[in-house]
Amino acid sequence: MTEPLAALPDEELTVLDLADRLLNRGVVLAGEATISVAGVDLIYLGLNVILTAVETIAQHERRTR
Amino acid sequence: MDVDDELAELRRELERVRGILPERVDVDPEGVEQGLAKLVLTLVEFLRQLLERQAIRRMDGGTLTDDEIERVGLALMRLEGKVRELAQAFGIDPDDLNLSLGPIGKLL
Amino acid sequence: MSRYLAHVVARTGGAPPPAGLRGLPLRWLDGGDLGIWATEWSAEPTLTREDAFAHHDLVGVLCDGAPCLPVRFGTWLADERAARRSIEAAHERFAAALDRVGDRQEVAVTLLWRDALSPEGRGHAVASSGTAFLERRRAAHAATDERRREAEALAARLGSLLAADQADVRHETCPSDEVALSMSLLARRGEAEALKARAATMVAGLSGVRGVVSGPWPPYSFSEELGATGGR
Repeated sequence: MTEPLAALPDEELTVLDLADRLLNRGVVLAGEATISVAGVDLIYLGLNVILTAVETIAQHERRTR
Repeated sequence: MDVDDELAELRRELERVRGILPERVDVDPEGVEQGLAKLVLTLVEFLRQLLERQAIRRMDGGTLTDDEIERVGLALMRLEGKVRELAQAFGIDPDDLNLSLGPIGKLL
Repeated sequence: MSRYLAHVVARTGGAPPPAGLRGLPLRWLDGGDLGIWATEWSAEPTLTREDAFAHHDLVGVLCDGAPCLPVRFGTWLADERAARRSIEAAHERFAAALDRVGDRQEVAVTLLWRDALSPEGRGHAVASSGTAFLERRRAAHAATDERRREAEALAARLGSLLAADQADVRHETCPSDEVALSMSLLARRGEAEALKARAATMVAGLSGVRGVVSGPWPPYSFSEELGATGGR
């Protein structure tokens, strides 16, 4: 199991919070736009498909400590 | 549809999911397959927990026989094991499947 | 073939642009009285973690200059026509949101449980029989439900103490095993630091959870439900 979040310093938790917002929040443009973060086109369907991208960044953060 | 039918349905879906995902998986931590697998397994685990809660409510409410409780409990336990096994095969920490589903969670 | 990575929705007539991501051109995609600031690429790259944070910095600069709505990172548009159609699909909502939210900032409050959940609490129980399994899972669900109730109570308390208008608060309880509460508070410019300080004081007084207060940031969490006609 990866290190508990509660053990991380404030700055790292702030980065995770920000990453969560960058990848999961913000205006969603209808129809014409595709969301593509990892080189895979994921047309927005109302699903939280970027779920995994947040964890990838979170894991990157924890690995680089 | 009773709990047995629902579990059978979920088990079929799980087998179907295994069929859809590629045979040879590149277990690269940044991999796309892993990302899709994680999404799918998170959904499956969410549904499994919904069924589990329903079974527990019926157990507490006295509407399941002892035999049914035992059968449903075994089925749910095996399903949970299967999900963990699949997660580990994709290099996913099973504990990471307990993430909120956001909008999907509200739909379900 | 050019592709455009959208950063914000804004009103036409904004400030002169800085550069886009990776030093690439930043373009205004016109949609009438509203439009989209986007970085122009010659081909669609794989976006990196650095790109995400560069997008954040750019959104911050644009929001400092004029009311803006942050667009979800990773949103690609083929051309100006596509941008125009996207804006027309939700024009009233974008205009209303720019009025209400465009000039404001977001303060984030995150509470983490101090005690970790047991493996059983997380869902893993190996038992000798199906019945024993269900009984152990019942206890685990009860513990999870209790945590959620505690988190909801914290959310209600913090929300009522930190915001006059509850429309200025968004929160999610127990988004994961470790996080009790993820909350966003909308602040007027110039008031964000004071809000942060109040939140930090309140959070320091809570037992059972560890709190982190962050921001101010562009209003990401207050822009999300706009634009998608078939979505949430």
